[in-house]
Amino acid sequence: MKITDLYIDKEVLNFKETSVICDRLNIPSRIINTSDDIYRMLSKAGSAISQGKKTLFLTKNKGKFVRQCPGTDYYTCCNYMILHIGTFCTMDCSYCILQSYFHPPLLQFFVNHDDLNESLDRLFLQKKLTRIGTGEYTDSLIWEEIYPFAEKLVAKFSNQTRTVLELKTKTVNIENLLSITHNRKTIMSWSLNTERIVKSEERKTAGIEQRLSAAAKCQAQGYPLAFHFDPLILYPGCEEEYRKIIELLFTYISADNIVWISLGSFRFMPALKSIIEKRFTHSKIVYGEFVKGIDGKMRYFKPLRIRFYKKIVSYIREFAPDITVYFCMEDDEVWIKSLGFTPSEYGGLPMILDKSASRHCGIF
Amino acid sequence: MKIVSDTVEIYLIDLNDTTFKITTNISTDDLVESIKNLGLISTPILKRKADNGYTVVSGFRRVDACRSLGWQHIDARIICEAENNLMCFKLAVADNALNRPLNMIEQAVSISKLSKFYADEIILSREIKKTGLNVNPGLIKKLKKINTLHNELKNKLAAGVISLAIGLELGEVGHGTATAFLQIFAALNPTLNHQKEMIRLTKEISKLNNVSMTEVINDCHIMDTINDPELDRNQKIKKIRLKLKQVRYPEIVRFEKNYATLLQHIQLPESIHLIPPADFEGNNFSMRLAFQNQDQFRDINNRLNKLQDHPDFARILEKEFEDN
Ligand code: SF4
Repeated sequence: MKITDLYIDKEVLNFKETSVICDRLNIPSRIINTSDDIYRMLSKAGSAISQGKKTLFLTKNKGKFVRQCPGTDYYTCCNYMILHIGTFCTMDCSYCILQSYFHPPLLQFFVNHDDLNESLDRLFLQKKLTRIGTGEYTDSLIWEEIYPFAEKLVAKFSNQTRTVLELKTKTVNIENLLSITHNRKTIMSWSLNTERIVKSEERKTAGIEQRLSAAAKCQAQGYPLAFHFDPLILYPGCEEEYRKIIELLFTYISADNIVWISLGSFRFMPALKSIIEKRFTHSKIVYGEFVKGIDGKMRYFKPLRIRFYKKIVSYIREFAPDITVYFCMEDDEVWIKSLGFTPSEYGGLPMILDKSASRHCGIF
Repeated sequence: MKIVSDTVEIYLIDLNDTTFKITTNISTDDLVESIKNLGLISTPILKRKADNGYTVVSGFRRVDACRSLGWQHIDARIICEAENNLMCFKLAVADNALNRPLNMIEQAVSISKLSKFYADEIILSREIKKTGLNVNPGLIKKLKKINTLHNELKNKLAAGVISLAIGLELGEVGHGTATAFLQIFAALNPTLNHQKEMIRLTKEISKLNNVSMTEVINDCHIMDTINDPELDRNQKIKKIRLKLKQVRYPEIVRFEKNYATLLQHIQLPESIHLIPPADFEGNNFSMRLAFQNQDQFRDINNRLNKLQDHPDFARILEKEFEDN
């Protein structure tokens, strides 16, 4: 993690988390009253997004730590909860939605962990099973280098039985987690893609074999695992290359330890296109055969998605016929034509995932 | 600012000093005629120089026209030498903008000259508004880019032949490609949206296939289409757009073609119009029925009854167009 600029919200100056991070980073910091100063500075930077990846703001989460994932009505959503620990990412994927999500994007780490713990305690009191993850507005494990946070979360989740935490990453920052008690209440998950896409579109992320070998280490420590083929990107020869990655996945990992595999084809808000064209001049991913989806995002033409999903599902089924595979934000037509059923036949997607979580994580 | 009216010797006016020049039109023919008949209605604005000469702040063409008419003296409004340049620039913009709408290049020149005094675009926008030129900060950004365009594009912009959006787009492609597009647009005069679409598709095909945009234009035989005597303007535009779309979106075009074939198979009369979901993304098909009386309605009803069991209609609804 290469941070060059550190800003500290005056309100969190005396927090213990702040001093740990300042000690670890050991760079000069600026104390500020309002985030407006940083935003002004970033908006003036020639490349606000790249600057935002090196600029860290330690502050409080002034909103909710626990939130509903923002799905849309038309496409089937999995009712995921988000644990909002921070924003943005030090890695640099061309397709990253966060580049256009925050204006301007900035690394923020919320250090009011007492409030976070209270929110979790309240969540744990709920009677229903909950799936929650930290990897929606940031990568779950980038923060490990400046603050050993994931191990605290894993420990906290290990002491309850109704909620499962998913740590989703493209890093291999797992060392802190290997020797701690998790009681299978944390799912370690990795996003996977073809070697070609990792190389050309995922700057500063760990290689695929590194990710899989980190996953294998977690597997050896009894962690349940998950994998996300998201975004699936279509290009000539992609089917064969995705097949290879799937094959590789099952050489490292036993299907029995996988809670779910999600599939999501590349989709993006139209505003992201010009950002990708500007920041990733060699990238061709925005020149696929896209149409505007019902949620306003650009998506591959549906018959292409279905044809491709069918292939990917068949590759996965070859190695793991019973594994839980689901689509992220697709409609019933895609489900039935690619997987042969609609989520509603099994009580809905949340129910399907809940069942798999209970089976693998001992949730009840 | 103090301005005095005076009569000055015309040879003392330095027309080569373009410090404050905004206008792009260099022809004086129209002005010569007007001044010959009506005299000089609006006097130029000059700034006195240290060497007793004058710089033109506003009115280059007027001075030039009077010179070509053989005038020795000219009435003018004179700004003293000590007056700062910012005020002169503002006056230059205001005097021009109040007399006639400034073209894109003139607006760009005005912005470029004034932005030396105002780095912040919001403040610049506010200040320039006071001169009668209404440009928001977003437009200021675009106008600043105009100054980097090559002359052919600047001339087309100044003449209003192409829009600012197209000028800027073409400014980002190679000179040869820009010239090719200027030819295409001059020959076919497509709508702005069609112009944008043609540039975008060509650019994206070139990136996808690692070929130059000029090669795309050649490979798609666009110039041949333009010169095809069998086609009228609209047919040419349609053909070019379809060709570019076919290359850029081969699967989508194939799918749409197969849909059109199936539609022919089910032979719907004109009174029944089947509307597929937009881009085949959603799942709802709809129909528009046109009838004027019960007989026509009955007829439509009979056709619909037959349609419900037609295997190709089932394929349409299932979106099974893959292998016709
Ligand atoms: S790892 Fe995830 S959060 Fe980080 S840049 Fe890539 S897509 Fe964005």
